[in-house]
Amino acid sequence: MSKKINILVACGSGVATSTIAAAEIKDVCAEYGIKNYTISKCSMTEMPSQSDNFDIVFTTNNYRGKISKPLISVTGFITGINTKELKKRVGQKLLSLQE
Amino acid sequence: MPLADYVKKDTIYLKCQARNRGELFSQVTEDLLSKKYVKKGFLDFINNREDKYPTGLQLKDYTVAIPHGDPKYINKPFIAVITLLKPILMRQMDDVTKTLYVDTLFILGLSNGTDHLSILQEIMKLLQKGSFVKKIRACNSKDEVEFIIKNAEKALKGEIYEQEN
Repeated sequence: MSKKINILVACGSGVATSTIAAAEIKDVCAEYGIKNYTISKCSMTEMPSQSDNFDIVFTTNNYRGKISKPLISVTGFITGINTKELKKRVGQKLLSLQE
Repeated sequence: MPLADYVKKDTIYLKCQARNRGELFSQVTEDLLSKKYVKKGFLDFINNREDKYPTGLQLKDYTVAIPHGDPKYINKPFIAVITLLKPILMRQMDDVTKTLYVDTLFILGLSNGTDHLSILQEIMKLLQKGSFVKKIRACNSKDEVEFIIKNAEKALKGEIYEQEN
Protein backbone atom coordinates (compact mmCIF):
# COMPACT_ATOMS: atom_id res chain seq x y z
CA MET A 1 0.00 0.00 0.00
CA SER A 2 1.37 3.40 -0.97
CA LYS A 3 1.83 6.12 1.62
CA LYS A 4 -1.26 8.17 2.34
CA ILE A 5 -1.00 11.78 1.13
CA ASN A 6 -2.74 14.46 3.13
CA ILE A 7 -3.55 17.35 0.82
CA LEU A 8 -4.54 20.86 1.89
CA VAL A 9 -6.13 23.31 -0.55
CA ALA A 10 -6.41 26.97 0.46
CA CYS A 11 -8.06 30.06 -1.01
CA GLY A 12 -9.13 33.45 0.33
CA SER A 13 -12.31 32.18 1.92
CA GLY A 14 -11.59 28.47 2.06
CA VAL A 15 -14.89 27.93 0.27
CA ALA A 16 -14.98 29.12 -3.31
CA THR A 17 -11.92 28.73 -5.50
CA SER A 18 -10.38 26.10 -3.24
CA THR A 19 -13.43 23.93 -3.95
CA ILE A 20 -12.79 24.18 -7.69
CA ALA A 21 -9.08 23.48 -7.22
CA ALA A 22 -9.83 20.51 -4.95
CA ALA A 23 -12.08 19.01 -7.63
CA GLU A 24 -9.26 19.38 -10.19
CA ILE A 25 -6.74 17.80 -7.83
CA LYS A 26 -9.10 14.85 -7.34
CA ASP A 27 -9.18 14.46 -11.13
CA VAL A 28 -5.38 14.50 -11.22
CA CYS A 29 -5.23 11.82 -8.52
CA ALA A 30 -7.60 9.63 -10.54
CA GLU A 31 -5.56 10.19 -13.68
CA TYR A 32 -2.29 9.26 -11.95
CA GLY A 33 -3.74 6.28 -10.12
CA ILE A 34 -3.31 7.89 -6.69
CA LYS A 35 -5.96 6.39 -4.45
CA ASN A 36 -4.70 6.80 -0.91
CA TYR A 37 -5.22 10.47 -0.08
CA THR A 38 -7.33 12.99 1.79
CA ILE A 39 -8.21 16.52 0.69
CA SER A 40 -9.04 19.29 3.13
CA LYS A 41 -9.79 22.94 2.48
CA CYS A 42 -9.08 26.06 4.50
CA SER A 43 -8.70 29.81 4.12
CA MET A 44 -5.36 31.47 3.36
CA THR A 45 -5.33 32.89 6.89
CA GLU A 46 -5.58 29.43 8.43
CA MET A 47 -3.19 27.82 5.95
CA PRO A 48 0.23 28.52 7.59
CA SER A 49 -0.82 27.02 10.93
CA GLN A 50 -2.77 24.17 9.32
CA SER A 51 0.00 23.20 6.92
CA ASP A 52 1.95 21.28 9.60
CA ASN A 53 -0.78 18.62 9.59
CA PHE A 54 -0.52 18.00 5.83
CA ASP A 55 1.99 16.65 3.33
CA ILE A 56 1.43 19.21 0.60
CA VAL A 57 -0.39 22.51 0.19
CA PHE A 58 -2.07 23.97 -2.91
CA THR A 59 -3.23 27.59 -3.02
CA THR A 60 -5.25 29.58 -5.53
CA ASN A 61 -3.84 32.86 -4.18
CA ASN A 62 -0.16 33.57 -4.16
CA TYR A 63 1.44 33.02 -0.76
CA ARG A 64 4.55 35.07 -0.03
CA GLY A 65 5.55 33.60 3.29
CA LYS A 66 7.36 30.36 3.95
CA ILE A 67 5.91 27.09 5.18
CA SER A 68 7.66 23.82 5.95
CA LYS A 69 5.64 21.81 3.40
CA PRO A 70 5.77 21.78 -0.40
CA LEU A 71 3.47 24.47 -1.80
CA ILE A 72 2.15 24.75 -5.34
CA SER A 73 0.10 27.65 -6.65
CA VAL A 74 -2.83 26.35 -8.71
CA THR A 75 -4.51 29.52 -10.00
CA GLY A 76 -4.31 27.88 -13.44
CA PHE A 77 -7.15 25.57 -12.40
CA ILE A 78 -9.30 28.69 -11.98
CA THR A 79 -8.27 30.55 -15.14
CA GLY A 80 -8.00 27.48 -17.35
CA ILE A 81 -4.66 28.70 -18.65
CA ASN A 82 -1.93 26.03 -19.02
CA THR A 83 -4.09 23.56 -17.14
CA LYS A 84 -2.41 20.60 -18.88
CA GLU A 85 1.08 21.50 -17.68
CA LEU A 86 -0.22 22.32 -14.22
CA LYS A 87 -1.97 18.94 -13.96
CA LYS A 88 1.26 17.24 -14.93
CA ARG A 89 3.22 19.15 -12.30
CA VAL A 90 0.66 18.39 -9.62
CA GLY A 91 0.44 14.74 -10.63
CA GLN A 92 4.20 14.20 -10.61
CA LYS A 93 4.61 15.97 -7.29
CA LEU A 94 1.86 13.85 -5.72
CA LEU A 95 3.42 10.65 -7.12
CA SER A 96 6.75 11.61 -5.56
CA LEU A 97 5.08 12.09 -2.17
CA GLN A 98 3.56 8.63 -2.36
CA GLU A 99 6.96 6.92 -2.24
CA MET B 1 -30.59 25.18 -9.22
CA PRO B 2 -29.10 26.08 -12.61
CA LEU B 3 -26.74 29.00 -12.99
CA ALA B 4 -29.34 31.01 -14.91
CA ASP B 5 -31.49 31.08 -11.75
CA TYR B 6 -28.76 32.86 -9.79
CA VAL B 7 -28.36 35.62 -12.35
CA LYS B 8 -31.51 37.61 -11.76
CA LYS B 9 -32.44 40.60 -13.83
CA ASP B 10 -32.15 42.92 -10.87
CA THR B 11 -28.53 41.87 -10.23
CA ILE B 12 -27.34 42.62 -13.76
CA TYR B 13 -25.51 45.93 -14.08
CA LEU B 14 -24.57 46.86 -17.62
CA LYS B 15 -22.23 49.58 -18.88
CA CYS B 16 -21.56 50.93 -15.41
CA GLN B 17 -19.40 53.92 -14.75
CA ALA B 18 -17.03 53.95 -11.81
CA ARG B 19 -13.64 55.53 -11.29
CA ASN B 20 -12.31 52.73 -9.16
CA ARG B 21 -13.08 49.52 -7.36
CA GLY B 22 -14.27 51.22 -4.17
CA GLU B 23 -16.74 53.34 -6.08
CA LEU B 24 -18.09 50.36 -8.04
CA PHE B 25 -18.46 48.15 -4.97
CA SER B 26 -20.30 50.96 -3.14
CA GLN B 27 -22.72 51.54 -6.02
CA VAL B 28 -23.52 47.87 -6.48
CA THR B 29 -23.77 47.13 -2.75
CA GLU B 30 -26.17 50.03 -2.22
CA ASP B 31 -28.47 48.52 -4.84
CA LEU B 32 -28.09 44.97 -3.50
CA LEU B 33 -28.90 46.22 0.00
CA SER B 34 -32.03 48.00 -1.17
CA LYS B 35 -33.15 44.79 -2.89
CA LYS B 36 -32.37 42.80 0.27
CA TYR B 37 -29.86 40.47 -1.42
CA VAL B 38 -27.14 41.34 1.08
CA LYS B 39 -26.88 42.38 4.70
CA LYS B 40 -25.02 45.27 6.25
CA GLY B 41 -21.33 44.45 6.40
CA PHE B 42 -21.22 43.06 2.87
CA LEU B 43 -19.37 46.08 1.49
CA ASP B 44 -16.62 46.01 4.13
CA PHE B 45 -16.27 42.29 3.66
CA ILE B 46 -15.76 42.34 -0.11
CA ASN B 47 -13.42 45.33 0.11
CA ASN B 48 -11.26 43.69 2.78
CA ARG B 49 -11.28 40.37 1.04
CA GLU B 50 -10.29 41.90 -2.27
CA ASP B 51 -7.40 43.75 -0.55
CA LYS B 52 -6.08 40.58 1.04
CA TYR B 53 -7.06 37.96 -1.50
CA PRO B 54 -7.75 39.62 -4.81
CA THR B 55 -9.90 37.95 -7.47
CA GLY B 56 -8.74 39.56 -10.70
CA LEU B 57 -8.15 36.91 -13.34
CA GLN B 58 -6.17 37.22 -16.52
CA LEU B 59 -7.95 34.88 -18.91
CA LYS B 60 -6.69 34.15 -22.40
CA ASP B 61 -8.21 37.17 -24.10
CA TYR B 62 -10.09 38.92 -21.32
CA THR B 63 -9.70 40.09 -17.77
CA VAL B 64 -12.45 39.50 -15.25
CA ALA B 65 -12.83 39.61 -11.49
CA ILE B 66 -14.93 37.30 -9.37
CA PRO B 67 -15.26 38.96 -5.94
CA HIS B 68 -17.07 36.73 -3.50
CA GLY B 69 -19.10 37.59 -0.47
CA ASP B 70 -19.30 35.59 2.72
CA PRO B 71 -22.50 33.54 3.27
CA LYS B 72 -22.82 35.48 6.55
CA TYR B 73 -23.81 38.59 4.62
CA ILE B 74 -26.07 36.98 2.03
CA ASN B 75 -29.87 37.05 2.34
CA LYS B 76 -30.79 35.62 -1.05
CA PRO B 77 -28.13 33.94 -3.20
CA PHE B 78 -27.24 35.81 -6.39
CA ILE B 79 -24.59 36.30 -9.01
CA ALA B 80 -24.20 39.92 -10.03
CA VAL B 81 -23.05 40.47 -13.60
CA ILE B 82 -21.29 43.79 -14.13
CA THR B 83 -19.87 45.31 -17.27
CA LEU B 84 -18.01 48.61 -17.15
CA LEU B 85 -17.70 51.30 -19.77
CA LYS B 86 -14.16 51.99 -18.64
CA PRO B 87 -11.98 49.39 -16.93
CA ILE B 88 -10.92 49.77 -13.31
CA LEU B 89 -7.65 48.72 -11.73
CA MET B 90 -7.75 45.58 -9.61
CA ARG B 91 -5.24 43.04 -8.35
CA GLN B 92 -4.49 39.56 -9.61
CA MET B 93 -5.58 36.47 -7.74
CA ASP B 94 -2.32 34.67 -8.34
CA ASP B 95 -0.14 37.59 -7.34
CA VAL B 96 -1.37 40.33 -5.05
CA THR B 97 1.47 42.62 -6.17
CA LYS B 98 0.30 42.58 -9.80
CA THR B 99 -2.48 44.84 -11.03
CA LEU B 100 -4.69 44.45 -14.06
CA TYR B 101 -7.49 46.40 -15.70
CA VAL B 102 -10.86 44.71 -15.36
CA ASP B 103 -14.02 45.60 -17.26
CA THR B 104 -16.24 42.61 -16.46
CA LEU B 105 -17.07 41.35 -12.99
CA PHE B 106 -19.11 38.54 -11.56
CA ILE B 107 -19.85 39.11 -7.88
CA LEU B 108 -20.68 35.81 -6.26
CA GLY B 109 -23.20 36.05 -3.47
CA LEU B 110 -23.57 32.38 -2.67
CA SER B 111 -25.01 31.04 0.54
CA ASN B 112 -23.91 27.79 2.09
CA GLY B 113 -25.49 25.10 0.05
CA THR B 114 -24.97 21.89 -1.74
CA ASP B 115 -24.93 23.36 -5.22
CA HIS B 116 -22.18 25.83 -4.39
CA LEU B 117 -19.52 23.74 -6.09
CA SER B 118 -21.44 23.00 -9.26
CA ILE B 119 -22.32 26.68 -9.73
CA LEU B 120 -18.72 27.78 -9.29
CA GLN B 121 -17.45 25.11 -11.64
CA GLU B 122 -20.01 26.11 -14.22
CA ILE B 123 -19.04 29.79 -14.01
CA MET B 124 -15.35 28.97 -14.33
CA LYS B 125 -16.00 26.76 -17.34
CA LEU B 126 -17.94 29.58 -18.99
CA LEU B 127 -15.28 32.17 -18.19
CA GLN B 128 -12.54 29.97 -19.57
CA LYS B 129 -14.31 30.17 -22.91
CA GLY B 130 -13.34 33.62 -24.11
CA SER B 131 -16.45 33.83 -26.28
CA PHE B 132 -18.69 33.94 -23.20
CA VAL B 133 -17.05 37.07 -21.77
CA LYS B 134 -17.07 38.64 -25.21
CA LYS B 135 -20.82 38.05 -25.57
CA ILE B 136 -21.59 39.36 -22.08
CA ARG B 137 -19.58 42.51 -22.80
CA ALA B 138 -21.59 43.11 -25.96
CA CYS B 139 -24.94 42.98 -24.14
CA ASN B 140 -27.09 46.10 -24.13
CA SER B 141 -29.98 44.67 -22.19
CA LYS B 142 -30.59 42.39 -19.22
CA ASP B 143 -32.68 40.10 -21.43
CA GLU B 144 -29.65 39.53 -23.64
CA VAL B 145 -27.54 38.58 -20.62
CA GLU B 146 -30.16 36.08 -19.47
CA PHE B 147 -30.42 34.62 -22.95
CA ILE B 148 -26.65 34.24 -23.29
CA ILE B 149 -26.29 32.58 -19.91
CA LYS B 150 -29.15 30.17 -20.61
CA ASN B 151 -27.68 29.25 -23.97
CA ALA B 152 -24.15 28.95 -22.63
CA GLU B 153 -25.45 26.60 -19.97
CA LYS B 154 -27.20 24.47 -22.58
CA ALA B 155 -24.02 24.40 -24.66
CA LEU B 156 -22.02 23.27 -21.62
CA LYS B 157 -24.41 20.38 -21.15
CA GLY B 158 -24.15 19.53 -24.81
CA GLU B 159 -27.83 20.25 -25.42
CA ILE B 160 -27.07 22.74 -28.15
CA TYR B 161 -24.02 23.32 -30.27
CA GLU B 162 -22.40 26.69 -29.89
CA GLN B 163 -19.96 28.13 -32.33
CA GLU B 164 -16.76 29.53 -30.81
CA ASN B 165 -16.18 33.21 -31.66
